[in-house]
Amino acid sequence: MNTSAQSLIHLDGVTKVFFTDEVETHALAGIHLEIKSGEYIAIAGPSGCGKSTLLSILGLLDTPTEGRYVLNGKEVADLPLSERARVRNREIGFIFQSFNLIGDLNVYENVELPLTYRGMKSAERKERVMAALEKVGMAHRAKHLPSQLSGGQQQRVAVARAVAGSPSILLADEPTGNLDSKNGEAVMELLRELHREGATICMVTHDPRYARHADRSIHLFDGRVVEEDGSKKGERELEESGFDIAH
Amino acid sequence: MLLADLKYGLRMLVKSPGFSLVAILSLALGIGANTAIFSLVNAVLLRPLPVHDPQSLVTVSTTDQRNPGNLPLSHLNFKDLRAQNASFTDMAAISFNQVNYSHGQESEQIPVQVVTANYFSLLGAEPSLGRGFRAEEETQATPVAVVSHGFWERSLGSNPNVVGTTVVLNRTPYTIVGVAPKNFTGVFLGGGPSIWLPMSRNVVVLPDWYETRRGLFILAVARLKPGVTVEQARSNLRTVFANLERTFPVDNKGRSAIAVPLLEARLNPNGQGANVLVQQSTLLMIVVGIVLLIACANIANLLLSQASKRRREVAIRLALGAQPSSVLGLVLGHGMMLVFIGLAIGLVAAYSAAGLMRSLVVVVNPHDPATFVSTAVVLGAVALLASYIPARRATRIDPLIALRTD
Repeated sequence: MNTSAQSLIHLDGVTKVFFTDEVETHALAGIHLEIKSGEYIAIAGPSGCGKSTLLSILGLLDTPTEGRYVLNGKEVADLPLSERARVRNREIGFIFQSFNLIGDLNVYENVELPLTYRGMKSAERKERVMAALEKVGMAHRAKHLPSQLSGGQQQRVAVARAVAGSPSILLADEPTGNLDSKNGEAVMELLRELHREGATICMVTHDPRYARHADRSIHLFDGRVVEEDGSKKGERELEESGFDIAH
Repeated sequence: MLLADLKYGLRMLVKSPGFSLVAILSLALGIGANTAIFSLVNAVLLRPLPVHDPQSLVTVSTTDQRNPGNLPLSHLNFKDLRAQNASFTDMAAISFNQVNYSHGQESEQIPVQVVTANYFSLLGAEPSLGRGFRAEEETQATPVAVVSHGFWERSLGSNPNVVGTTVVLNRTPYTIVGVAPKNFTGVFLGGGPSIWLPMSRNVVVLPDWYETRRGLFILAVARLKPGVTVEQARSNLRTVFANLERTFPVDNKGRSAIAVPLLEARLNPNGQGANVLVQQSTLLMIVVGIVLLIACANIANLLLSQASKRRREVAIRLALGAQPSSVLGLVLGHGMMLVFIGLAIGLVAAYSAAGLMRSLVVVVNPHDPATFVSTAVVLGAVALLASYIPARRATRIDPLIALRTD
């Protein structure tokens, strides 16, 4: 892990409480988290531990009940709705478990969609969309509808959509959850490649095999960070060099 | 983004043909019916009178202690009032009739108005071709006619040399001496006549009524002298008519005369309540207004249902950074496509319907481009407003909840 890299995300004492008529549910309880630029981090933990809530807050889809959230040096916890949308569009690339492609738009239009919300010119959009599709190996399917693609192909398109705008961070929510193991591995390999090219990735997973791909894993339980493991990068590099590491 | 929204709206239309058809047809019906009826109402009721200074015109009517309301005048009383009043620069008489118009082997009943020679000059309605009537044509039975502009266009082929030719009415040839100005339909509601004939015609067709004081068939229009108020004119008429009652006590017993501003008398001709045409037009406008409201409610409901089906898509768009205004544009774009197509079909239908109404209400021309355009703009705006409600609701979707639950 590059400890001298610039801090991209800083969470300080972030809590999230869901209120119903009679019950208060503490989904997150005082999360402190630092993600540096270029880092690949996995958030792991059992169901209901707060992984998705944390990812939603990181992705500005939700707001913390308390605490500070600094993204790229800017306080973003209490931004108004339209400004959150703007930051989301420019700084964050989402990869969802269920792909979330729009069925009425073809592959090209799906990847282009977040760029249109930036008011980017058509020529530049085209260049970026085609580059992103080339990167995930889906350029030849640009005119196809999502329904004409396999699950693995759809997720690759979703990755292209996430990276086309060159966001500061990719947030991946169980990106292999709806895929078979072969396609899951392919998507994970794609994320590793993006990371090698410099992308910052934060991935939620409950699968330890995939968590190992990250530089660092954070384990959540009952809304708290119970374990932080920063040794993965060294292990992975050794593994990639041909060493067999027993876990 | 507008073009992209419209393009996407078009795609949505094609994707849901049933939904689109229902929405478009209901809108077309609402817009078409409203445009057609409003065009007719505008042509008949709302368009300013094409006469000089209509504010200084009054109608002059008989009042009778035994019969409520404002009644027509008798021809002889009209002549005396015209001669003896001190309030008016001039008075003209009008009576209504139907004649049989023959052309080739065909014949049809057409409405005519029989008027005094000063009719066109008093109203300031200069014929667009030829002339109005001469004084001697009012008193000596002369078969001359002034045709309406609509009749000239429709039945005489807009012949520029029509003056001096004849039309056959009730098997008698009448020489055309003039063509009335465009859009001039007289001063009363209801479309106006095809042809005007001089008052002397009544000598032929109504000899008994023409020379009595009991037969009430003359509608009189007068122009107030400068500075004379309606009240002053009424007072003057009462005085003059009191003399007429004394002079002709049998025929004029219990009668007097009253002046009513023309613009008021058009809507309430006998002083007994609104004109039937006004009542019917109001009713029609209410009915077609309700049809439009139903169409708008329909489009709002259909768009709401579509927006509900597309909840997940909207959530994805919001998650990817779409501003609420972009989502608003997306749903509005869909609504706009429906409205544009509904408008186009509605206007074509309205144009055809107006043509049909023109054939029923002679002389009125409801094909007024300005009315069509302004009505279309207003109705289109109303329909777009109906699209705004579901569009606004779509912007309030919480992407987090929508993506989790859908």
